[in-house]
Amino acid sequence: MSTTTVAHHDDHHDHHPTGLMRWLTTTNHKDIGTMYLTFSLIMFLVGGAMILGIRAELFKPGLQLMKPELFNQLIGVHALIMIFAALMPAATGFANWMIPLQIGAPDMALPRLNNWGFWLLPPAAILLTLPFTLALFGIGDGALATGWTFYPPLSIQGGIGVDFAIFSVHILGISSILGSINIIVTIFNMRAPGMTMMKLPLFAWGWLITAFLLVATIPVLAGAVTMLLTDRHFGTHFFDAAGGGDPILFQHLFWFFGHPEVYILLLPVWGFIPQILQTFARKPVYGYKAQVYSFWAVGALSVVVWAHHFFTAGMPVPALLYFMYSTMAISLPLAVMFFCWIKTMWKGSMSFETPMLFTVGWIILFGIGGLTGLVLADVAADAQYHNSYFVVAHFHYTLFAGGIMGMMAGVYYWLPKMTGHMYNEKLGKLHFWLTAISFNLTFIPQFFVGLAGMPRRIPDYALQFAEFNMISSTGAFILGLSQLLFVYNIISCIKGGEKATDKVWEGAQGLEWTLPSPPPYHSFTEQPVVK
Amino acid sequence: MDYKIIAHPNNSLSPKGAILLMMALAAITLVVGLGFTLAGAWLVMPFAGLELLAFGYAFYYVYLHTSDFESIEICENTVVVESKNYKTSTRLEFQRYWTQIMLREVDGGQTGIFIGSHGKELEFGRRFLDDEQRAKLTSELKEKLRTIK
Ligand code: HEM
Ligand SMILES: [Cu+2]
Repeated sequence: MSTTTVAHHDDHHDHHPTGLMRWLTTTNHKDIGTMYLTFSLIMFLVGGAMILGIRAELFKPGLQLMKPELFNQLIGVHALIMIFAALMPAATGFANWMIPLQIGAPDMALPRLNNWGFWLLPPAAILLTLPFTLALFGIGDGALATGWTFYPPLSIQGGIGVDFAIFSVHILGISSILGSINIIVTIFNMRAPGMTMMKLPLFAWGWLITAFLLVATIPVLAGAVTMLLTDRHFGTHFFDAAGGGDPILFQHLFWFFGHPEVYILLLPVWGFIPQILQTFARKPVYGYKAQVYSFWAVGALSVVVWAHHFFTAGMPVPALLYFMYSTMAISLPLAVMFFCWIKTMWKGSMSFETPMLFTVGWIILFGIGGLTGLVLADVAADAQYHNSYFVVAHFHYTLFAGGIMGMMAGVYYWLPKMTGHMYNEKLGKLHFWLTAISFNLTFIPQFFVGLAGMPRRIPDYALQFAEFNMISSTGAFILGLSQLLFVYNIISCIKGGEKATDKVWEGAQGLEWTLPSPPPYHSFTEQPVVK
Repeated sequence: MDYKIIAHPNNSLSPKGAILLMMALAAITLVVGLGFTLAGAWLVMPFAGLELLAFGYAFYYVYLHTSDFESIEICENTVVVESKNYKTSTRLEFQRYWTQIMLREVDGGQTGIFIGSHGKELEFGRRFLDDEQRAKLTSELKEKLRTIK
């Protein structure tokens, strides 16, 4: 009998520490998914609290609560937090949880990288918000006050808040790229036998396009903010007209990233919405291929339309026309998707549990976001609407309704699978109605004040806008407080509640619903091949 | 050989596919990077390069692990457990008659399959199996050890 000693290979599954160390060192895709989602929820509340400060200030005309500087800082940090620390991590959290389950993989392809991808986020969030605290101790003059878009020359003149935000964006970018690498490699290399690309669940497809978009755009964002940094501290003049630079170049760079970013945030949602529809309409997804091709079309178009964000900055007329028509063209694949969503429900035997309520509400509200986008895409009209509250209302229909409410649908849909318990259905429904109604109460008035000419990002406004702003602020506070129901429902669902079945929903389809709820620590590992 | 079981990753991406994918990623990133370099924003390029390096490394890492596996073979008098993780290959032989298979709880509430005899012990199925599959495999192995002769 011959033996060799068994070298303990350095493998990520060898031991399973408990407590805090478990979370710090974990390489398990579900643990990491849970951390992403938890982080997202916390930052959603932080970003929400900031904007309630803003809405409180805007409740009445005149300056009541804060100096304009702080107002500007809260607005910019709110947006960066919501985009990078709430929506993005929610999407990545679902990806970690569900993509391996959906494609039949034992874990993500690069588990250690996955852990890093997550643990870069908290430091980035701290960097972004630290200047608020530092200012209390007399260091610096607070967080970045440029809005989330970092436009020079303001961002070149700004205080240390800008530097902190730049580093924060670098770290967030690295985190996003690590996430994309993992998702691309996992989807391509870890599919179970028989899971061909055209059988991938739409969620995996949506995420794949998102990952490609991140790959294309993050280096541009990283380059752009680095150039800001060198302009600020190392004597370059990339964006400084006095030194031969061009501030508009920054706008091109920023929106080359910024426009695809909005689809980066939404593609994963477009992926799981049809899965929810099919579950609660008890009919298979209509137009799977059409939707996959639409994802591709939106992805491709999204990198060639960026200048619609600064029509008013001055561009040759042919460029204006090009960016107008290409932007409008995005609504074609979107229309295909809307058609498929509706057709999936058509004549289905529908039931309206909370995930379905959120999904149907999502379709309607996101639709309003898309249509108002078309209004803004019109060069002539945009001269009037640019930098007005109309834009703010537009992108909240797309990002709060289309993004956050979509994620909420996903949370209610998958929570029983992830925790093994059912959430409280009554509370869930209450949460939906409060959210949907107060969301509209908050943002419909913003369309009106925008059309009437109220500019965005100002702490004070003309008296004629007072009523609508008061309604909007009231809506915002109801909206904010309603989210506490959401948090409460999630926490009590994690702690206990009615046991969920493996399938959870009567009409559920897909690999993830064949595993026990909650799934075992390692899921779908390679089926042993017996010879 | 009476019985053999092998667990290995599926590798749905062929090496050729990996190269094509890598080329596509490089094309996207470099076209964008070059475009902006021409517009004067050359600082996009270093980041594009770093990103591609990270991708290259990821694909290389995955490639190195394509032939990893774990196997158990039950022969007439021996039980052979093999595993390969990149360059580390291990092979351990037990006397069939004395071999014990155990399913034990390990850290974190998971199970592990332990195969051993004469004070030597080895864990199996950590990388490619989950709790359920480990439980199934344990009873199957016990059965096989007893029955096939
Ligand atoms: C057919 C669909 C859409 C069209 C045609 C469209 C068009 C536009 C246009 C032209 C603007 C610039 C307005 C201005 O600043 O004057 C804009 C702003 C914006 N859109 Fe959309 N949009 C669409 C969908 C979306 C979606 C799906 C999202 C998010 C997921 C989104 C998020 C935003 C954001 C965040 C801004 C404002 C950014 C800022 O200035 O801070 N849009 N949209
Ligand atoms: Cu855009």
